[in-house]
Amino acid sequence: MIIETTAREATRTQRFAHYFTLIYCALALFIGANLRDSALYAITPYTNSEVGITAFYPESWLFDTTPGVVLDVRDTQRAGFNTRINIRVLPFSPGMSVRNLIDTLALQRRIDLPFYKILSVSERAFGLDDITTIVDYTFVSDLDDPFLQLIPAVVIGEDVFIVRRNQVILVSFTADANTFDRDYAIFERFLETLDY
Amino acid sequence: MTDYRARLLTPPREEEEIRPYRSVWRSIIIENIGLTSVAAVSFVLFGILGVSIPDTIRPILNIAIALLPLVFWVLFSWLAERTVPQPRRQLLAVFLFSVLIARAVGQPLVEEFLRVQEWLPLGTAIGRIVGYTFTVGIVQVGLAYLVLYTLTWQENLRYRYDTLAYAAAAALGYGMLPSLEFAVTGQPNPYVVAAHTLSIFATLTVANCVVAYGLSAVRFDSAPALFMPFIIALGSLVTGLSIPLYSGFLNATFSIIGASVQRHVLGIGFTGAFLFGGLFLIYTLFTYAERRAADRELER
Repeated sequence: MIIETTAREATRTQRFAHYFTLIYCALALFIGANLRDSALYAITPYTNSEVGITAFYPESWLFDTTPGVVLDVRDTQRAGFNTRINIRVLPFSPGMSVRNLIDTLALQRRIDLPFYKILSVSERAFGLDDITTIVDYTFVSDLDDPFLQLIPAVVIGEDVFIVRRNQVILVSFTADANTFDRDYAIFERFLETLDY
Repeated sequence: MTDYRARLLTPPREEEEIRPYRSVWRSIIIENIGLTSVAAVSFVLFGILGVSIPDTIRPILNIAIALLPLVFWVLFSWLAERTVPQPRRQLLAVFLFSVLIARAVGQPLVEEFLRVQEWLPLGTAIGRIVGYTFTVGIVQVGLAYLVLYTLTWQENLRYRYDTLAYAAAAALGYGMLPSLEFAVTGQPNPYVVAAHTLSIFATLTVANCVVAYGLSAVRFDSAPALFMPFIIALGSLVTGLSIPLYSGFLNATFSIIGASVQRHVLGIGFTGAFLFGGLFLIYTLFTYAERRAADRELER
């Protein structure tokens, strides 16, 4: 059976059906965005009473135990170079300056990391009354495996030096240069929740 | 006793009804049987029998397989439409608009805004169904609804099966570029391309046909205003169910004895059952709606 219609004007019910559909689509998309946020930005607390640090790192990241590193977490879901955040505590005597630490680290990394270069050194306010020193650097990450079919990745890193009495808390963030800008938001959130 | 009632030696010839419109169901069924058959045959040829093809021919074959839904649609829908007295004029426009909308809006929304590839594949089964429903599902179905409403609602929905014809064209347009991209990325085996193409179009076709049913109910059956949002939710749930279930059937379980290979036979089997089961349900709904409309006409 064929029922033809030539009516062009929609009835009131049809108009409301259209409006409700648009509202539902917007609402469902909002729910989808919330599901995304709760999955991508879920965090896990980390507390180290010995050092006196509390931090919140992304729930899906792998917690690693590295000697000499207080906290070492990385995003293993990322193909290629894993985005990484780690915290170290370095001794800091009264006669030292942060610049000494930066230079020492630069010399060490020059050996460990291929093509290591410092991009910039700057100071930034952190928290209520702290001034931190920020060091941006770059290097090339290449896993020493002849069978791994992987192009070396250019990595951008950022060190945040927080001076605390006779210690410096060094928070480091490294990510593939291609994903650095996107992942930097995670690092910013990490720093915002860092308590020391 | 003699029966004096007049009898004819041959039954009277019924005048063949001249239908002004193309039969939509016939086109949809033929196209999807063709697509499923190609997936099954290519799996037997390349997956089971291990027929090898030169590397130079493989990309061409893969592109041809990815373009098959378009070829079937042109042959059995678009060209067939041109032979009937009253063709559906917006068919090509709906197809082309869906291609553009998928590329310009759908893909960026799913991949860059919702970033489903980063968090959904890792979730629990229920989490993935819910997640895909409210991300990929709502984007696909919502955009299909918008395209259909914008291009056809005013003048081009003349009877209920028009919604179905346009919805099938929208499904084809939305899935065209993703299936082509898959075919040209990394030289996959042709049967993998065929299975993937079938999976994409099966999901889109069933979900869009659900939307078509909702549109026809609102347009021709005076369905309540909340019916259409309900149908959109149902359509997105169809997508939300299809994607994780297909992955579940396809992906091999972990094995320590031998290599874990994807179970394409289960993937193709599930997609076929999902496609034809879904189409059968929608056919039943359309038939029921048509009968009710006929009853209403008789009551007047």
